[in-house]
Amino acid sequence: MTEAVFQAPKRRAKVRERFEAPLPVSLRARADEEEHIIFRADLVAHHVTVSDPAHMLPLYQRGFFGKGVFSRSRPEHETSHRWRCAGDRALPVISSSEYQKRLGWARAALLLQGLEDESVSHALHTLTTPVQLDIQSQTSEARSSADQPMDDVSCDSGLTPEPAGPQRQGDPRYDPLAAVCPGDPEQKSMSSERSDAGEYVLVELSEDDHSENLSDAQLECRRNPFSMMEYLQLSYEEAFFLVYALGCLSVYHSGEALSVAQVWTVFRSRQPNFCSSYAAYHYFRSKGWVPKSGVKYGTDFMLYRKGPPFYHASYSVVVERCDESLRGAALRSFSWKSLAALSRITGNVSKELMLCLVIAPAGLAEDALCSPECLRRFSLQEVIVSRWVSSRERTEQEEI
Amino acid sequence: MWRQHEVCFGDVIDGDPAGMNASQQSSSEEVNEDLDTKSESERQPSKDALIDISFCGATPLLWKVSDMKRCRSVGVIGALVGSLARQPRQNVRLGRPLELLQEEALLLEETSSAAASLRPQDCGDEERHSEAVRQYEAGLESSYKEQCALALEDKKRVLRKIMNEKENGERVSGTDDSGNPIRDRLNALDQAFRFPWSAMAVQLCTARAGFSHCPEERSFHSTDWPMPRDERLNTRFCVYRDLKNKGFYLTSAGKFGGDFLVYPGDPLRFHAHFIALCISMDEELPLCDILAIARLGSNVKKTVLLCSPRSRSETGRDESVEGDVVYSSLQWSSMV
Repeated sequence: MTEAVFQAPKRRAKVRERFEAPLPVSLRARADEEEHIIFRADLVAHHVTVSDPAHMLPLYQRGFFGKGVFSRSRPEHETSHRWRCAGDRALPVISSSEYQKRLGWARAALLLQGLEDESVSHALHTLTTPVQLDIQSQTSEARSSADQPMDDVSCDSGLTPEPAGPQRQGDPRYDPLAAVCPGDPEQKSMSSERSDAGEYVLVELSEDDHSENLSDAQLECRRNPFSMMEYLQLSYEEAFFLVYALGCLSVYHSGEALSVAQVWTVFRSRQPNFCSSYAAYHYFRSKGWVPKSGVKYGTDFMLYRKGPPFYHASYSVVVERCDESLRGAALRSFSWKSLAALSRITGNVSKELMLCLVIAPAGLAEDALCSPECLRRFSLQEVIVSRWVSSRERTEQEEI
Repeated sequence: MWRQHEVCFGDVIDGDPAGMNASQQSSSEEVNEDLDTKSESERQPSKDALIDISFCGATPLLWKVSDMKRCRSVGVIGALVGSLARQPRQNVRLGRPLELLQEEALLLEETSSAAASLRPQDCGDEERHSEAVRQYEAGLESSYKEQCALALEDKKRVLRKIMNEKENGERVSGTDDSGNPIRDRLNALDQAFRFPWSAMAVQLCTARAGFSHCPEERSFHSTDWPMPRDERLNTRFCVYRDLKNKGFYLTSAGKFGGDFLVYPGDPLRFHAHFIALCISMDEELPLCDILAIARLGSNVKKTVLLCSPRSRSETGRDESVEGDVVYSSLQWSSMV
């Protein structure tokens, strides 16, 4: 019959990120200067969010925890993709239609607060007066820099230099897959960290939205009517892992920090099967996988080898709970149809379907689950489910 | 007891000693059915002839080519599940019988174009059954002896031919060595030849008297519908009937995790446009299942339809009433 074949994780064609050491291990040369930061997250409604930009980026870069709420995964929402230097700072450039849209949002927000129409209009009128920000003296510089390609921001607000440390991506000493795929994936240089404090924007006043040549557009500096601050959202498993296993996050609720046991209790009350899904998350993290949410494909986790930017997901995991004889009420009862659909979609996107069985010992009482200490008593079993097509199997054997 | 035989399906006259001699005429004509333009069903008025559905457990099957042609013309597709006699060890091309979906069989029965047929084993008591078994086994034995003798003759003929060729070759080349082992084999053949039971060819009869009789005999032959109608079947049947009335062709969608694949025309000419999933109005589906099937639909370029028959609570009947079906389509945005 068929035997289990393990596929190597598939590299992505273009890698735009640099791999950093995962939390909390730091391998920087300046270890003494680096203090151990405890990141701060807030429990707002039913979500764990990190809003401080200085905490957001390390959390994502070193282990790919969380998801930016305005972005696909990495929190990289910017007011605009075009920037111009004005004085000593870089300001985003937006089109006039975009500016009008933001004014509309600002108006709606003010109306929601219960202000009257007239005061709202007055407030917006004040908001829309152009701001003189030494832009006149700098317009000549803006025009001269218009010859440069648009996505190359050559302001001196500090480009990070090329990474000085050893390249761990594609280096055979550290990466066992580098021998399999010897070519170094293409890397683009990291974009500069721009201060997106969002206070001022440069608005294009020309009619044509698609003007490529910025020297034609008159840029005017205005206040940003509606600044959208992106934050990082952590799932419960990720947040608890950072709190419990790595000890580098603390969760605040209504201003006060919660203890580990309190976090466990809160998460268990909010998510019914948190015990088993956290056990699976912890297990896969310990093995070096990066588990992300599998909602897109109808499962619980997607396992990535180093992180989503580097490899395509290898496994699509469904977490199930059972007792020691591998029986028990299923968290997700599969019918023949739903299992066929799941297996088919997993095959279509070139992943493998894996069932992760969290085996709880028989004598585990309900109150033992109130503390994270119960995690020691779980054991896990992985089962890979694959489609077997009889005609394909037969043809292969005939070829042999 | 299950014996492995080389089974070939052929339109052979039923070996029933009671003998329906009247049917011999029509059955022998059925042998040439594929070649003959005038098939049996066309010879007789189509109103009288019913499609004959046999049941294997709860699975409806069609055996006759005329029935299969007729139901295809109505729009019932089904799936071939039999193995071909000449190419048994593959499932790329399959032969008769045609397996129908439960809903297809129900629709044929509702429109009075088909009825379930009575299998001879169903009626009769234990004694008649064991008598029939004895007759069948005696028939197998005699067929075996006959085939044994024929196989022995065949083998002798082959060996003699080889011997003759060798002798001719020897006369030409002048050597005399290889004739003897073959002659020895030939002589020992009568004692040593064994024809294995499993190599015997068994014929199964597929022609039945059929429903070309007058109505009294038809009611005698037809039987009750053996499938229980539970709620699940009712839901699916409601949706099936509604989609058929709208002019679609439907087949089973087990590969895609749905209930039906919906084609705008004959499946041989079109790709499926929809995957229909039948759920009742108050049934709950886990969100991850909906996501998985919507994603699958987008990947294979079909739209997923969630179909629910509108429940008519005022009728109070447990059979389904012809009514409206509510359809919702799912598409994954940002994917083609």
